Amino acid sequence: MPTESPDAPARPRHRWVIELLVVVVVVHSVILTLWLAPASPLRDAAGDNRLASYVDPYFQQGRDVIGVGVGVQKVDESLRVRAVVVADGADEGTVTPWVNLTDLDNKANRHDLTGARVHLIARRLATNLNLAMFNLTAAQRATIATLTALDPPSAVTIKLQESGGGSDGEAIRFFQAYDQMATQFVSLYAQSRWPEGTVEQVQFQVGRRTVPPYADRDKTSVRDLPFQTFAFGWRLAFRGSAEARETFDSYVKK
Amino acid sequence: MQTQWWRVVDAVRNARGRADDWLVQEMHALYAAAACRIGTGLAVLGLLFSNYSTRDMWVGQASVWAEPARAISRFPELRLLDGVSSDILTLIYGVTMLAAVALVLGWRAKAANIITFIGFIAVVGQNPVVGSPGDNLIRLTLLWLLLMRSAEHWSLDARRRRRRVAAGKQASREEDALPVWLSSGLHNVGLLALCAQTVLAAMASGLDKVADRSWQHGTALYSTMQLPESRPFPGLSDLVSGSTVLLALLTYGVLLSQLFFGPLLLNTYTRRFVIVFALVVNVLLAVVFGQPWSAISTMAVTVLFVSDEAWQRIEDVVLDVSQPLTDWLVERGYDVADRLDDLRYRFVLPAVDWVKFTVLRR
Repeated sequence: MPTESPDAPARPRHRWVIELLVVVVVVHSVILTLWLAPASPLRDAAGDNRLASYVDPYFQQGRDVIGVGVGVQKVDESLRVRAVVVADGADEGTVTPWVNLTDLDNKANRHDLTGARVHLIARRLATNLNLAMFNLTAAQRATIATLTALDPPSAVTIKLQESGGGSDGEAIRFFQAYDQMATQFVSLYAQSRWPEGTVEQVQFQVGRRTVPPYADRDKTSVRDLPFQTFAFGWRLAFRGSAEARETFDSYVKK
Repeated sequence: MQTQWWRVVDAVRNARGRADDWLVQEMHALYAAAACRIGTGLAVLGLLFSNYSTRDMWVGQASVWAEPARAISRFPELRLLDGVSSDILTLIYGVTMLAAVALVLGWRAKAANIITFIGFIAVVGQNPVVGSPGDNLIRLTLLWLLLMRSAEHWSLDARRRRRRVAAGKQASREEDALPVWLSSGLHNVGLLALCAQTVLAAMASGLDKVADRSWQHGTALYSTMQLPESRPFPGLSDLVSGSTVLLALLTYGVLLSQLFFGPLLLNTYTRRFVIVFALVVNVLLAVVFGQPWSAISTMAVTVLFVSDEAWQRIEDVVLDVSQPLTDWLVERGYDVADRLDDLRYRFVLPAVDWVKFTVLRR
């Protein structure tokens, strides 16, 4: 028979509540360990999707929460915009010069230890658009370069499906989501940047250039390299609410 | 055979008993929890403060363009600020900042923790396009802090409790709401979970890096330092990336402080070393890469592993060092009060008398 030590302290009767919580913490930690661990038979047995369904929506704990991904990003990316602006009373619009939004953000962040998140927007859109384009086929990318402001999103989907030759529908959805976001963002920006008329159409372009290897640091730097760009055709400008336009006005004119 | 079986049962029972005692008898690492509360609160406050002037662009009406990203996000709390007006956004943003200040000061810390947690998710989660992995760490830390008693030290709550006890009153009603064993148990479970999360995150991050050749060669940070958005101080970035030794020191510093964080915690001496090392590395990351708020949140969970004895020694040293300064400030405070009193007698009271006897008499 098991024996109770005579000098054991009196323990609360309902301590099982705490024990249960400890079990929950242990199970949670094991799931996180599997999720964060490199690929292994154990992780495969648990199943990536099953782990993701637990971790992703609430805990979203990636391998880069500590150190926030330093040493991972090796590519410089850019987002440029231009627009067709119709001056008041004119019949035809004029095309503005390209404006490099990421460049402006980088200048705003220089010598600022606590840079604002909004200065990351152009860069993040560029990253995701580049990723979206790499997920598509060469034929689909060529189709995107020829899109006009008259192509509605539903027509774009059909065109991409046709030119994709049965490629991944998820890649098309991802592209269209970021295409919409970039169109709306650069439209709001363009209206504030070129207020002398009505912005009818916008066009954006994303570029990327990889940092040269460390061994070549004395010969070249990333700033010497040209951007490899993706073209995106023209889009109808998005008007946005009066509040959104006002906010962009004060932001762009700063 | 039966005797052996009972021995196993006995051993399991004793182990359970010891674990129960550790969990419910007393709260552990109360100083560390207070330090974690202050650090996490500062990270939230800093992040919200540095984005205050651009809040409408970041998460307000002007972030309408991010709608598709919000639509595909599965995070349920996003809807709290969805489509609200600028005034409501400012209100919620301001309340969250005030709650973060209260959390740092330890004023009604539990309520402040809840409001900061909800407000932080509502504000920061509103624009997933510009989210940072550091946001997840802050959110998870705030979540586990909810279970913990983080205001037992270095807080206005603790001062209020001390004053009430000194006056012979009950410490506070909040303390009586739960039985002591349950309160202790919840604190210790939260502490365990937060510590486990910190060790797991650090080691996973280290394992991920060590497989990469550029981390093995000590040059991985070179690429990041060349990217315009990761070099807020170009001169500093060029200084570090231009020197093979400095670059390797920083790169290996990041790698080792993450990879060996867990194992080095197991011994008292190596634990001190790895904690100080990780703190130094995070300060460098904050400055070189311009990520102060993520670094502070990482430091806040790192100091959870500092023992209460060490915190008490640190507190003594800080009090000793700051005593002359505090005395000087108090003296100056008296000087300022005297000067103000003097001004009141010379200008304010004569003015009041003049109003009384000339204006009001008519």
